[in-house]
Amino acid sequence: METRTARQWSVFYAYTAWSVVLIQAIFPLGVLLAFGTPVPALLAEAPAATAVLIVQMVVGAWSGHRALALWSAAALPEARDRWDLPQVGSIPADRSLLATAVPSAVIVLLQLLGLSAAPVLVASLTLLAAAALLRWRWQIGAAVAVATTVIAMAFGLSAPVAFPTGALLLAVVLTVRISLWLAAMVRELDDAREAQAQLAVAEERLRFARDLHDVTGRDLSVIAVKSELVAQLAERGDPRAAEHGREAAQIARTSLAEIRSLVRGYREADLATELQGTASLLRSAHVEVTVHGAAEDVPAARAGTAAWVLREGGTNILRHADPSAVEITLRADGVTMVNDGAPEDAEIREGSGLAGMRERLDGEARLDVRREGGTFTLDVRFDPPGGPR
Amino acid sequence: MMTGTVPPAALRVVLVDDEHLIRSALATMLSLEEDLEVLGEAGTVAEGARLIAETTPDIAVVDLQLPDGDGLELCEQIAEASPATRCLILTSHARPGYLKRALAQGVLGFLPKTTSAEQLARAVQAVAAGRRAIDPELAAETISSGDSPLTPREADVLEFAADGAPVEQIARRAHLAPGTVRNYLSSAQAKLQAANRHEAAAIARRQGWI
Repeated sequence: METRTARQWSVFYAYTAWSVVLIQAIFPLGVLLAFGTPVPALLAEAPAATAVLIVQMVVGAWSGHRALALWSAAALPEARDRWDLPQVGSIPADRSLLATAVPSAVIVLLQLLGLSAAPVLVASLTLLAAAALLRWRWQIGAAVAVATTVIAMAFGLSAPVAFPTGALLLAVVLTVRISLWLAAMVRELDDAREAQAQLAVAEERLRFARDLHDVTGRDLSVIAVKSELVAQLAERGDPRAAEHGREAAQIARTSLAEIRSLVRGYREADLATELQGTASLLRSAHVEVTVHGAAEDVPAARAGTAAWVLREGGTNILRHADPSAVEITLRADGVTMVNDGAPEDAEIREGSGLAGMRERLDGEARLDVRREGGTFTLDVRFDPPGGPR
Repeated sequence: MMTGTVPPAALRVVLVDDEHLIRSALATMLSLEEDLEVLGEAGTVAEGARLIAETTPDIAVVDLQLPDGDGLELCEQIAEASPATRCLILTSHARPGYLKRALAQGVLGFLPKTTSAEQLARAVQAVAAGRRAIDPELAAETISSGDSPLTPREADVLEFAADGAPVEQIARRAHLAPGTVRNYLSSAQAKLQAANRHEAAAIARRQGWI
């Protein structure tokens, strides 16, 4: 329970705990009301006993709070009720209950010495009963509440006083138990959510382990066989050793790339993200980046192409130029990237990068590159819709 | 330590990597190149800083993850102790945030360990000449990941949380107090609009931020 981060449960717990505290504290005043004797009058009639009762109200409220804290710290009982809902279970008696019993004992003593009044005694005993009964099943609480009312009447308590007192005790015990029942349900939901999150993590880990084994297991065995072959060939001075050695290295590299895409998962980045990413990567290399237009200016059907252009263009600028400023323009009909600090050798190397880009864009857009002095412009124009496919 | 008959104009290189097998293989491969001379090898940030201060090489090839810190910290130290030395980061763990940090710091080279011997030798020469040598895939991946809203510390803590570890364990891994970890986690959660830290870690992983 120590690492729970769920806010809902902690709020609900606080709400329940303070309700119980409030009910416990106010309850004796209700009993006194049933007698029709206000507290000031009682204070005048039996000052010592009333003072003890007030102390007991505070201690009783504290005991209620302690009971709830104990309950929330312990695990929920496994047993379910007939609706398959969690049960509240019983809360063990602790020292706080004993502390609530002490004032009652004092008041009984004062009563025997003739220093207390009947309302104080009844209020004190019902308070003690409530503090104890909220710890057990509601059936026990209800039965005891009814039984004490009957016994009190048998001992001469008048019905108009006994009935409201008994009803109040019953109501307090039931209210607290129902609040706890509700809290138990919230707690169970919260635990379930936590468990679900843990389960998702475990499942993901399992999937990952399986995929990882699939990828690495196969490649590692090939590498083992190949390296063995390389060693054998090298021992015999066979020139094929070099060829097989390079193949083994290539397999290892491909395998690593596969593992990397496995870890990252397959993500489809959107244009806005790529734009942000390009700008932030170039800025981190101390390049001043100006963006004209926004991701929304590019038609949705072209967003994938534009994102790819940004990624390739950004990568190329970083690798082949030493720019101080880059300008990115996004329009409905194309993407333009302009950078300074392009390498001095006059002819644009149509080598790997640009030729590859042109090929990839074929049928979707036209690629133009211009260079004036140190300024390099990469201009991509989307083909009009319905154009060559 | 490699000493031999090398031309005087050979680039002097130091390797810093804690994985001994990879380091010795790289050292052997680089020393086979005629215009490169491997001056020495180190396995930690402290060792590397000492070695580079002593030898002032032209190029330091540094692993991103070292047992007593990260390679970028070492590059910062190198910039002070031996300003003529240029850094090339060689890594097997390429989180996009690191590339940005390296660029911001003025590091010119950033390549994966899968780079072939030939490419690595070319990259060392490019960096020595003051040109950038950045892996295109890594740059593209960094662009695709957008602009991470997470601070480096939040990203670290979230990564430690990604396997479902409880807060106490994350705190131990990150060498932070549990309360601090909770703060980082909740701010990361808020930034990613996630319901809990597991969801936050999943989102961040999908975006390539951790």
